Amino acid sequence: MSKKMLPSSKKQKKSMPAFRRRLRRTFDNQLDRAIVQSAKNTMRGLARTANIKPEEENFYDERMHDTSAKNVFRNGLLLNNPVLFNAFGVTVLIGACDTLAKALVISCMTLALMLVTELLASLVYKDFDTPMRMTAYVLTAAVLLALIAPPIFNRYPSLVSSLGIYLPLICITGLITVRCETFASVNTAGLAAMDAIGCSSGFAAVAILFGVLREFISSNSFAGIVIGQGRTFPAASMAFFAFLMLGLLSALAQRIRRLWFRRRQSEINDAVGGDKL
Amino acid sequence: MSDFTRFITMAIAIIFAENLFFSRALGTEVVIRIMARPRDFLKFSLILTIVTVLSSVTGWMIDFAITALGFTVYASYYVGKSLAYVIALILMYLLADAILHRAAPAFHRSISKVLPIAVFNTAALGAPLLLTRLRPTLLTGLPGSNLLGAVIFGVAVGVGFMFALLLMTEGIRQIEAMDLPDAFDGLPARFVYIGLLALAFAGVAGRQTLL
Repeated sequence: MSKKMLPSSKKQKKSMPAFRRRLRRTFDNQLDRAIVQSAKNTMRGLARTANIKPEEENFYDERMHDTSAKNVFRNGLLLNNPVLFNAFGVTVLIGACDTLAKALVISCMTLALMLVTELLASLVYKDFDTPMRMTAYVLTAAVLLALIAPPIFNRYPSLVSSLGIYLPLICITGLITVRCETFASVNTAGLAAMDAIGCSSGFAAVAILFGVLREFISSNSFAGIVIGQGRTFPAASMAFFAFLMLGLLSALAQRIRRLWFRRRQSEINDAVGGDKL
Repeated sequence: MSDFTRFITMAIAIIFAENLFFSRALGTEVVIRIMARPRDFLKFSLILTIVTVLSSVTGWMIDFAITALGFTVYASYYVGKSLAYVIALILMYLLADAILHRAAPAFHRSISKVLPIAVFNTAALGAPLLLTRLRPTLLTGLPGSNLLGAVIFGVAVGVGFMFALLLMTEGIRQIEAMDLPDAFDGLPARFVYIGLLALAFAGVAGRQTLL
């Protein structure tokens, strides 16, 4: 039957004028897109109304709530990177990390501040009221910064002054306040320390990548040493370039993470199916 | 040029030409969070404007006191001043929280989730830091030199954020209705959209920074 059907449909296509074929193809494409979009919207709406998360997100949540030290570190560094998936610390990243040296200073500061603040949040601040907790995180980070920064300032005055207003802003970013509030204050000190190291490593990885790329594109140099004679684009040190770069990097990370989750999900499904059989 | 004209020019520069959100990425984290909750947009913008005004004024006062009392040795380190600004922000937050909790419990309940986000963000601390930085160089005799200048600076920063938030919420509503590729769904699309808007603003301001 299918053999009989095929030639007739081919004939029909051949007999159809080219413009009608094009029109039909366009119509079909648009119809497909509209159907897919409406199905997506309906599913989103249903999920939102019933407070149900899609399957992939459920799986994601399970992974995120696995509180072994290794998982906590991996989540901070890769799977739940604070910059690429949660937009924490973006102000400092975009404003200050346009050379490798600046990115390194910012990364080291973030690690020090996060480690101490999260440890204190886990050990001491967890019993405070909400307003007092929030203020405690910010105040701890600010005091620490005021203690750590002057010696570095004395040693590398031009580097620290080139960071401008962005160095003090580290202590008030969501990277510290939100991680302390959502993770450190409800977990043990060991896990809080692992989270601080993981999150600050994740931040540092993105910051260093940004520093290297922006420095090379804007001035053809690496760590202050000129390594090429090509054309330079000084606008790479401006905010819009960093936003666009962050968008593309975040999209790449999201794509990789979704592929990884799907692969893990199919592996689990296969394993469960195999058991049943 | 009279002081009034200078203040107006400065305010226009802060709001439109060199919006602190698009040119310096101040407050990006909170803007991205508030975009997901359009209901809180107006509430958040108004609180943020009040906070930027208060933080600019207290920043100016702290700066004035440091200079007058001669504590310039430690305060010359940027972080020394920033610690004072952070303490001022914290005191403001605790005071506002306590007063509203006693005086208007219903209103306090309605803003209790927005208040910490509006106070502890990079825009609220960035405003006094930027004001201090501008004082000795570019705007000598302008915003940092008198209290009115600090007030206008704070209002302009707050209104600039309101303008940026308005652009963002409307744009994101349009973008989320589109059929985006899987990879760009959510945060990446927001970053790219902010980047394109920042590019347009950079085109208005030019390579040379006004602030």
